[in-house]
Amino acid sequence: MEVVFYGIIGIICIYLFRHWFFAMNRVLGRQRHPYLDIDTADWPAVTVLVPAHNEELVIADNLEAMLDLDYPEGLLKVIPINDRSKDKTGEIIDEIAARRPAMIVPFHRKKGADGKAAALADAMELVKTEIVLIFDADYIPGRGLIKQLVAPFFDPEVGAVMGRVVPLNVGRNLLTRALDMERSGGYQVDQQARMNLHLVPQYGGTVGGVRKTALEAVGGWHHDSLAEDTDATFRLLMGGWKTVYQNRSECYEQVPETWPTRMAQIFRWARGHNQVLQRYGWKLLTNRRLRFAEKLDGFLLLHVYVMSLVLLLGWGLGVILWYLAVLPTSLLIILAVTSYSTLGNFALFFEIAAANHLDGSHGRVKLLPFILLGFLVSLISVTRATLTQFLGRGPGKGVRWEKTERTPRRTQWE
Amino acid sequence: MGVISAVLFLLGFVLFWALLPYLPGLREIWQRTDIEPLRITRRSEVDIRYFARGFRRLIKDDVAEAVAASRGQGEAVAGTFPRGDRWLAVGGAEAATCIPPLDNDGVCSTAILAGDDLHLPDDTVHVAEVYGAAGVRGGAKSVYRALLSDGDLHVGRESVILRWIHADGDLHVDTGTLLCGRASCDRTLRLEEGCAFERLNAPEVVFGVAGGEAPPAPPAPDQERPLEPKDLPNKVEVTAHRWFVLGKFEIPAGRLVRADLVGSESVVLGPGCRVEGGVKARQDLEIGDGAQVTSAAVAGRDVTLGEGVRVGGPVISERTVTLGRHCLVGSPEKPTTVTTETITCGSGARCHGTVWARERGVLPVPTKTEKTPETATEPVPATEEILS
Repeated sequence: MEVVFYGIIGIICIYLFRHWFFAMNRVLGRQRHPYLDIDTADWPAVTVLVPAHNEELVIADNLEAMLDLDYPEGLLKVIPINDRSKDKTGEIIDEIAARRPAMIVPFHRKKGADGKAAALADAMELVKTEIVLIFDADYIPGRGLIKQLVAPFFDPEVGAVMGRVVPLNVGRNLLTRALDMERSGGYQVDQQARMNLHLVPQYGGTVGGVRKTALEAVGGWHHDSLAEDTDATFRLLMGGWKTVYQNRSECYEQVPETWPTRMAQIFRWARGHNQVLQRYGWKLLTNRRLRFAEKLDGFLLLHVYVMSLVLLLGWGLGVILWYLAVLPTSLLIILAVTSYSTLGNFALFFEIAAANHLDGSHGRVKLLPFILLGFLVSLISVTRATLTQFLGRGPGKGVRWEKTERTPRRTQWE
Repeated sequence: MGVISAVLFLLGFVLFWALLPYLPGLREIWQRTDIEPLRITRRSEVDIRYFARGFRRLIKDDVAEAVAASRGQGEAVAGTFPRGDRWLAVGGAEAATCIPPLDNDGVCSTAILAGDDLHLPDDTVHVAEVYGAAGVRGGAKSVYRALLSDGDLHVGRESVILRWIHADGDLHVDTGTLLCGRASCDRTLRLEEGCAFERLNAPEVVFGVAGGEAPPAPPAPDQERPLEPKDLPNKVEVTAHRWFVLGKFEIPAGRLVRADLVGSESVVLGPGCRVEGGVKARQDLEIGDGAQVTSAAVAGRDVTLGEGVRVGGPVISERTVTLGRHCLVGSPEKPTTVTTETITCGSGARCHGTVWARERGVLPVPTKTEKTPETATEPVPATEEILS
């Protein structure tokens, strides 16, 4: 048990170092934005897919923003995917599409497998362009965002691109404020650091896009995927295609405003992530195209949601070993438990603090200790997801469209 | 103190210590001082002409009548912008031989607005904008905050532009000038040797006047026998019109490749070869004399374009780009972007679109062996002197 216990501490320390290093790189290191300055180009034709399932509260704002995008006339097509909505999503889409029928071409999906991945797969048959961007229905793109997201695709090695997601409904309650900080840490620091260090930035399934031929070369969208974005990221990576993260390509989104919604969201993410781990973990390590650093970072990234279980196991072992007085110096165990619990997985705090500093959000940094609440809730949800996945239902079973509940947009954004 | 009291005290102390970090957060939850979402502007300020347009709007809104009235007139008219800065509208002979009003410290802090061709004297520091409704000719060894011309614009030698410069016509920058910030025009932007720059944009950007005649185009590659992956000694993975090549490799001179090329290390395109697609090298990319790339040329480190190279798409490097003499990037129909940290341009190189050096761009003075008989013989400051 002691060996396992110290092994767990060792693994936690690896993540500690990883997140601390990312934070230091973001604050002190050289930042990579190689495609950001491409302001003049022979812009290619682009298709934007907007999956929408019961999105009547938000879809109008999304499509209105699409109508105002700065992109050459005739080269941009928007396909809102009305996936068997039972509300007024379809009507709203048709109404807005009627104003620009050449640009907005609705796809009313009435049959097929459940899930966002399945909807995207069906919609891809309508896509005639090489570059496909995907936005969730609650996202509001800025005017210049399409060009920013398209620019990396001039690089023939790029298979996917990801922008930064910024919560709009920050001030609703403590949960939304905590999630805003987590998003900030995840994008402003974690993703950008991985971009800086030539590691594995992740395509997040929205505010991003893929190269159609690249995706098709690695198998297209997988219908049974719970996290089609993570799945695509790793298949593209192993197929020799890079994912680019563009930190300045920002887009507003809605984060969950209730704890049950948040728990359902993190549950879904954990299951999806673990599914990708099961499918590609070993293939990642044995892929000859990748550098060692990419393999290591990708491997660590895939195990992020497993670490919750590992952490709980570590705490349990620590307590047991302390009560058993196994080691000559019991205090050592207490110190080990408290130190890694304070720093290890909590190394995310480095990233969140650094991110809020970079964003100039100095007031909300005071809420950093409250992230612990979210962390504990996530710990429970992720552990449940991991346990049920590996011990109960297998991956891919019971896949259904689970989406974040929407609330009416309360903030008018200019 | 009894045991119970001691335990309670200990618990209380531990609780206080554990909750102490939450106090600032509780205050923030109560006061809600920082609850706005991160500000994202929907406008697209990447437009290089943004400041020029803003200044033109200012002129149109506030002083258009004065500028129009000054055309052909001998007398200058002075005023103040709503923002508080002084302006002076000049026209006719006043504009042709403009002597800017200087402050006690010898600088001109008055915006000069000319309704006719404007000629500015040498050795003057302008800390306010200068505008010409017709053409503008700046004096030598002068410093300008910003210059705007509705016609052509000529910047005198060894001058410095601090913020931006724009001409609706041609923009000619004499030798030894430093362009900080944005430089744009709507026709041809020409920089003489010895200049340094940051960000340029024009339908045509021409570097240097001393390059002489462009070399003859190399013979076209054999269209009937394009290069195949098996012709390379490296391991090549072919996916979706793309060759992923492991290790350093070189495309032999004069060969044709019909695919995108991605190299895991450095890539060399031999002289005269043609790639119908894009090229990416994770390390360095070297394109030999006369070679052509129809799409983008990308490198994780340095990109070097030889003499007479043609690249149809963006040139992207994370370190340096060297534009060889008479190389051509983009076309009038398909302008593009060159973007990197540092750019070194050879005489006669041309770009259509944007040239953006995040650190610096330089156009070195050619050495004696490179100079043509037409090159001016008077000494020009070294590029390092300009940048210091």
